[in-house]
Amino acid sequence: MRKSEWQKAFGDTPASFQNSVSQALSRLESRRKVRRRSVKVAAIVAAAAITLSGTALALARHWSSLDYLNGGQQPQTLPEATALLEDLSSTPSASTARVKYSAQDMVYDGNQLVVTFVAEPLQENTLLIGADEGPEGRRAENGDSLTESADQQSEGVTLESLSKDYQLVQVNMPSLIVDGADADALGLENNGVRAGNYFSMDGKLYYSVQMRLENAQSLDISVQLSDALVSGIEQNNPSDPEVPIDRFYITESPDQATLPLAVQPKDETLSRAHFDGPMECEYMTIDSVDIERTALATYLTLEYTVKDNLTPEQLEEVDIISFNLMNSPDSTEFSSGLGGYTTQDGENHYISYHELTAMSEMPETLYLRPFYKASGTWGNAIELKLSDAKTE
Amino acid sequence: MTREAFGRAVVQMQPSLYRVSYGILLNHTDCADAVQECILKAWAKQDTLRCEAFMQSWMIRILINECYNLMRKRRRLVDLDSLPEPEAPPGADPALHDAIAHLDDKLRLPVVLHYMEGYRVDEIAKMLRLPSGTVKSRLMRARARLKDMLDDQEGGISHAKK
Repeated sequence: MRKSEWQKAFGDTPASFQNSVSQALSRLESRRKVRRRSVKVAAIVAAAAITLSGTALALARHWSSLDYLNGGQQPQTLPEATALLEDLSSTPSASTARVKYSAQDMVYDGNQLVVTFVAEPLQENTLLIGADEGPEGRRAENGDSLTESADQQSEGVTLESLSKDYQLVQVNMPSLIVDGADADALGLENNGVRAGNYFSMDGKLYYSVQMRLENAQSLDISVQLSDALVSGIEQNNPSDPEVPIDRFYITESPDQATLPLAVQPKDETLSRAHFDGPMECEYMTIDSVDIERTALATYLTLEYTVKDNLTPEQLEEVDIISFNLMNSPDSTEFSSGLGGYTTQDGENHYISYHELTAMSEMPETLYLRPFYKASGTWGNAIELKLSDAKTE
Repeated sequence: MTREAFGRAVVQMQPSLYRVSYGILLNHTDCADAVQECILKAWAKQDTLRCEAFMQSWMIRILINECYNLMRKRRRLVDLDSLPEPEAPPGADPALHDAIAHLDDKLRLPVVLHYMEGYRVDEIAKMLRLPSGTVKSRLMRARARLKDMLDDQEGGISHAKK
């Protein structure tokens, strides 16, 4: 069957699609952008309630890059990580017409960088809205009253009702330009950019951006920040007040500001272990395993070669695989995976990077066990004895 | 790139953008939303495009991400399994449409990129960040499933050449 015949499967480009393309292009031409966003109003409302009452209540503690890393179910970092936290509050700030941006703090252990930015409205009665995009946004969770308080106050409040008292400004996710390359684009190429945004009770918006920068080095980063006035709101879920989701529109080009940021890693590696292969797994041979501990995380790097002559189903298994470190061959997971990615380095050779919860010490024996997500099955555990490793 | 040149290039690749987004979302309204986000994002990030010759695959990659973002958001709002099955759009080959629409998501996109858009396996592997072997095996499985579904169609996909 020819390409043209395949293309008939979905028919001709519909008018609605063509209109959407034309609309987007015409707005580009007039330097206006229309963006439709959905947003949960809960946390915004908390800030609104405080401002409405005229109370300048600051968040009891500010949101830091370590809070971002530890915002999940259990702390990820070691107590020593506080020594890595670098205060950036005295570095220059940058402003657009409506928002002042500043870098608050960062942690960089030579493997990953987390930077937290603060966006502050410059005009009265301005409410900032974060970008509801990217990985599921983590919000203040552990023992922080912000979310709970926000949820309580959000009942029945919508962006539409807030817009009567406020000018609403959407703050976009910061974009990090490292050596001329956009970190978002690098993220697509494996740098694993993740981010979250948090609202504080005094109307400030905190953005924490996390990216993998594994070659410990000093870098000049250019942070691009932007915001735009919300020009229209459409409440699209009036039947379900429990989920107050509004859609809003942006009809102007974002106002942009650039913040220079010089980062220098604090290489506080606590220990390293290198295990040489070959180690046989079901569908692959593990060529080497490297484990590096820092106060922020444990970094696991594996090099492996996929065996020849695998069936399509076996290849599928190898395609979506996660590696786990355990403290016994078949029981407790020692360190749960927080993120990772795999790059292909040759026909059948792969390098897999995993970021795991920080370990307070390197156990004498660890077990590496693959989990094949396609079939939901565990592979055989490989024993890693520290006495066999090259350590430092 | 000037806005005019960017606009001309986007209009030219419009059918491909439609087919790729439909191949993921199977819904015209969502495709329209996704392409709008894709165009805005591509325009904003055009300085990350190193070579204009690769603009189409770069745009398609952005579009694929936007489609997945949209799917994640939709999942939060509605149970996707409860949605009616997509009907063949006007002008479409209904049998082929339904067969492709019934493929698993992970098989459908390689089919669209390879057979409809003509991308090579290694190009698709790069776009989807998958090993080439995986793309090949997905195409192989997709072909087998499509053949099953279409084996009563004259000149079914067993004649596929690409």
